[in-house]
Amino acid sequence: MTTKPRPNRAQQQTLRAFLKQYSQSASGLLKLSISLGTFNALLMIASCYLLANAVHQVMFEQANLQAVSPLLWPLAGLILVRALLVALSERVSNLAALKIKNVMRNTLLEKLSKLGPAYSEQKGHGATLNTLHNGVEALHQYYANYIPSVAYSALIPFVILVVIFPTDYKAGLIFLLTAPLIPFFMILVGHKAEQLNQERWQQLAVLGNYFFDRLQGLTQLKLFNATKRELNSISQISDDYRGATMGVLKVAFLSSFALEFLATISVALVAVIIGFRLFFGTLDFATGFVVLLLAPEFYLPLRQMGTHYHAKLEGISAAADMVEIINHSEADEHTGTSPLPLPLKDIKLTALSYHYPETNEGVTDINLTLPNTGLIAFVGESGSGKSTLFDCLLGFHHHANHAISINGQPLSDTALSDWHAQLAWIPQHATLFYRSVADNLRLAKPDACQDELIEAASKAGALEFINALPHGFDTLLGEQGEGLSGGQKQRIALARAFLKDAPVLLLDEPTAHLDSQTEQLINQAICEYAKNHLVLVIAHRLNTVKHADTLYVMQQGSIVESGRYKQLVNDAGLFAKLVSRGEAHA
Amino acid sequence: MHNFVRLLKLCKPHAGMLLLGAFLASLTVLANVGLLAISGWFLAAMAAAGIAGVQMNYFTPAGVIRFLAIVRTASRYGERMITHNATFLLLSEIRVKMFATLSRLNNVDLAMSRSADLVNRLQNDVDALDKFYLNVLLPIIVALFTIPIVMAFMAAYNADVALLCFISLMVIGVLLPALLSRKLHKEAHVETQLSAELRAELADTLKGARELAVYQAQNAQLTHCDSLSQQYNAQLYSRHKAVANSNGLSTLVIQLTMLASVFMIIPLVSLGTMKNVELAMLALFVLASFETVLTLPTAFIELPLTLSAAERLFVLEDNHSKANTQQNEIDNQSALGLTLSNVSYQYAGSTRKALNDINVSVCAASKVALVGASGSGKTTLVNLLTGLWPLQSGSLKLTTDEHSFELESMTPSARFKQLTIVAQQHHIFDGTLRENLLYAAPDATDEMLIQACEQAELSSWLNNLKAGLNTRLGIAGRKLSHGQSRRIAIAQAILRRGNLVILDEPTESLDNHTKYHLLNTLETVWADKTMLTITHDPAMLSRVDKVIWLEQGKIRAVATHAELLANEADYVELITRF
Repeated sequence: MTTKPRPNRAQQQTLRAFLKQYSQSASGLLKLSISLGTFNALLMIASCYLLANAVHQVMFEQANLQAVSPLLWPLAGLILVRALLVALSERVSNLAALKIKNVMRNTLLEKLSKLGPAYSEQKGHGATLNTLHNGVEALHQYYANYIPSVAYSALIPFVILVVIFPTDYKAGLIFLLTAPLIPFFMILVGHKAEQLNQERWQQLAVLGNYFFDRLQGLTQLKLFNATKRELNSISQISDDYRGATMGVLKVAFLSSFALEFLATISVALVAVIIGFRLFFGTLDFATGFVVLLLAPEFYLPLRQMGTHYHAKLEGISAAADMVEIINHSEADEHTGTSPLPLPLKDIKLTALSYHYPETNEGVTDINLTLPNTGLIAFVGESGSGKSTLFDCLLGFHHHANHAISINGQPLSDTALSDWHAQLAWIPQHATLFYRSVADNLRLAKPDACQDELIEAASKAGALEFINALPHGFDTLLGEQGEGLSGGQKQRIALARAFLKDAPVLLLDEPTAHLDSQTEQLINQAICEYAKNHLVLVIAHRLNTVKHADTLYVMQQGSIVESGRYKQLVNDAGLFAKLVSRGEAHA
Repeated sequence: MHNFVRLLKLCKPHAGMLLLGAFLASLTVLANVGLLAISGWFLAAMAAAGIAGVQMNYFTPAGVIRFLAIVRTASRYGERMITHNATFLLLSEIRVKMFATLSRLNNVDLAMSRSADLVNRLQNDVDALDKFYLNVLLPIIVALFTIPIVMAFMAAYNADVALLCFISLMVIGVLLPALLSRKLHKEAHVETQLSAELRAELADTLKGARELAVYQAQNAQLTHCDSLSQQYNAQLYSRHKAVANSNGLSTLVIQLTMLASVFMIIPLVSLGTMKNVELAMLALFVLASFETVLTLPTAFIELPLTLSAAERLFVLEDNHSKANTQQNEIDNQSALGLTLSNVSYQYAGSTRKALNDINVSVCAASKVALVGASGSGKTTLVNLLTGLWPLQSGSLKLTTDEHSFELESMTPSARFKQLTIVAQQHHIFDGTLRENLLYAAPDATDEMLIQACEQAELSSWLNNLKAGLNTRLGIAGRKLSHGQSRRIAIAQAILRRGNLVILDEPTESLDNHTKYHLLNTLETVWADKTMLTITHDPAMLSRVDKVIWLEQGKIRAVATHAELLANEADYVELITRF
């Protein structure tokens, strides 16, 4: 549920255009579905004629069953075909919607991967995930039901008029005169009603949010000894909202009231007028009966369009989030394509600055020359810019790429994939995918053989527990590595990085307190790797900084101290202060 | 059936409103059926009279047609108002009941460890129950009420046609929906599972964006997502196909029934046993009679969903009636001590004990810290202390100078009067800052709230808020940083008057300056209370009387901070973080 405001009319225009543009991928299917539906309407008209004529002949020309069976048997045939058309048209429109959703989801994913991880992080993973999953699904009814219903509301009344006019223009005139009344009233009442209808959905959403928010915080309420009080509030608020919502509904239902009233009165009017024309003999019964049979069908598509109102609004508001992603400026995308000269020997950062839009956080004027091997640690309080610096090194902040040069070539000119080929990366909370352990490792090297997996796992100290899993390397990991401890997840991520054997390993150490045995194991493995590779680590643990070849201490986006552990402790600067918080009394 | 009856009982307080809605809905249906049938008869009769050149009273039928048109529209409007009002009444009834039930259960029964899961499921259940009246009950009542009336009228003209029509009504209203509903439910859980898999994969794609890029697995991942999305689509299409087929079949049955009745009536007209005008009337009457079951298919499709939602609710409710009865009230105004003896805890499905034979006591008014690596059992211990998780073995006692009370025997309200707990998973409610704070202390004045905010080092934040205490927080409100929401939790804790204060990482995400002031304040505010704090913050550890060090569910050491620093290298490593 959402409480964010529905788009206004002008925004809806743009969003509808956007949704239309995305229907291109299945426009053939949509057109087919609408054609089938319209063809069904044509057959419906034909069967009305057959029925009316049969009834007329039996009633007034003393025809018996045999005499009218040439009319009734084709009618049976038409009914069969119509049933098929109904089913087919619905299937095809659903198929179209499925196809469009798929294209939309792929487009969103591709765009997101081009924009880089920082974009979706800023928006919030939860929100982006909702757009990708529920948001895209919300388009289904829009394409499968609403779009065809719009087409039918124009096509079917038109077809009926075209058929009726040559048969009996006077009856046609009755339709023609009453028909515009409906859209007219719909616009008149609809304008106000749409606004009210929107309020109604929002009211419901607010009510739902309140209830589920309190459910989510149920433990909290228990801790506050507040459940009894909250029970009264829920009942009170439900009542208040009922009052408010009913007030809104009173008016909102008026629009459908007007529509129903017009349609019903029109049908009644048609019936009465035709009745009198039949009485005075100015019309034959067959025609009159056809008109009566068609009268409800004439208004039906318009009424049905109203029932898809919610589908329309849902689709349009879901689209708002998608437009935001898809139309996001291309300026944030990386454009370099030059191949990276190898082997890697020289990584240099010159006056690197990057700040997040709308905040002061980031890094300022970083100058660094990195060696080819060794353990380099970065320390600093949270918010000091360590993560931003690592994101820059990983090439995710495209605006900072010019300040990074690799083998003398700026990263901004380099194909990012070439640079990434030289890197391995382990975040604080490694992502384990919903696949087997082996497939999770192979993410880093798809063609790795079993021996390579075993070797990497063994280096990372993960072999023992992987073998102890129910199916060893083939054990399926649950969502987010469910069933593994934090230390085990960390070691699988480490094994993954070792498998790639990249010249540079970047690592954000977990702040969580792993048990001391695991910490030691991981520490040893990393120090070993650092002998032949470059390891850059955002350090949170004492042991890591003690072993580092160089330490960089960061504060407010800048590097303020650097050196080895002992030296920095003796210097009694910022680092010494950071350390002394732990060892003050040692 | 049992659950259906229980659901009906829930509706009882609003029976009048529900029935009035059903009556109006039936009236709408009957008016519509009557309108079409009489129109057919009127046309035929007028034509016949015109041809025969006889006079006829056309004022009455024309008047009836107009009257029915107005009745239909008016009752439709009334019906929608009444039924929606009834829906809201019932919705409030169900929500209050559900909340009351859940609030009485302990957290293991709620499986609060996966609360997102639970809330999602409850949300679907409540949504299903919300629609019980409108989508399930109303169509059933309308069908039960209108079908006999329509059939009686039809049978008065021709019993055979009525019988045929009745059979078709059952096919459309009961048989087809039942078949469809069976198919849908057989596949529903595959659909849910595929949807969850797709969601999980999309979540991984977003969360692991950096790793995917660095390991150059983005394209493979996109292909993987695409194939999952296709699988999900294929499953959805199977549902859409079933629905489309069912709609096609409905068209077929309705139209063929009309045709068959025409076939049956024509010989009667030819024989003269039936008036010719009745042919036109009956043909339309048969077509219109299907309006009585128009909404019944939805009812049959939703019924199993609603019933299984109701069952889950009732099961939770029945759980409660079996739950233990706690009755001990204690009235204590001074600091409480705490004694744990032989406390063990093992999570369902886990092979290892999260807590393994813990024996420790905390003196009244002392300040104690709890440290340990992740997975050492700290949070489990706090959960047990809340009393919301049932104790598996051992005993937990609150102690005063004279007495000791088993935590389990106390009523929740007595227990939470004594305990003030700031848990790791703190929930900020959707509402104003004032509302959030008042949850902790409903009788507090604005001055007290502001003072608590000041004590929790929130004053500079609060002073910058334009709306002050009226600032909206929570999902629809102002975003809070982790440090801010921690401090709001502390402000709430300060407002409460518990004699045993339990804090889970209170200084997390606070800068040094704020932390320093906060710790000073807390020391004063809770000087005469007992305080048990999970923390790894040296600044805080250096101020406590005693440190309890947990490792893998066992107590590794109980000593002062200084002793541990001096003797244990692992301890130094554990508490040093940058």
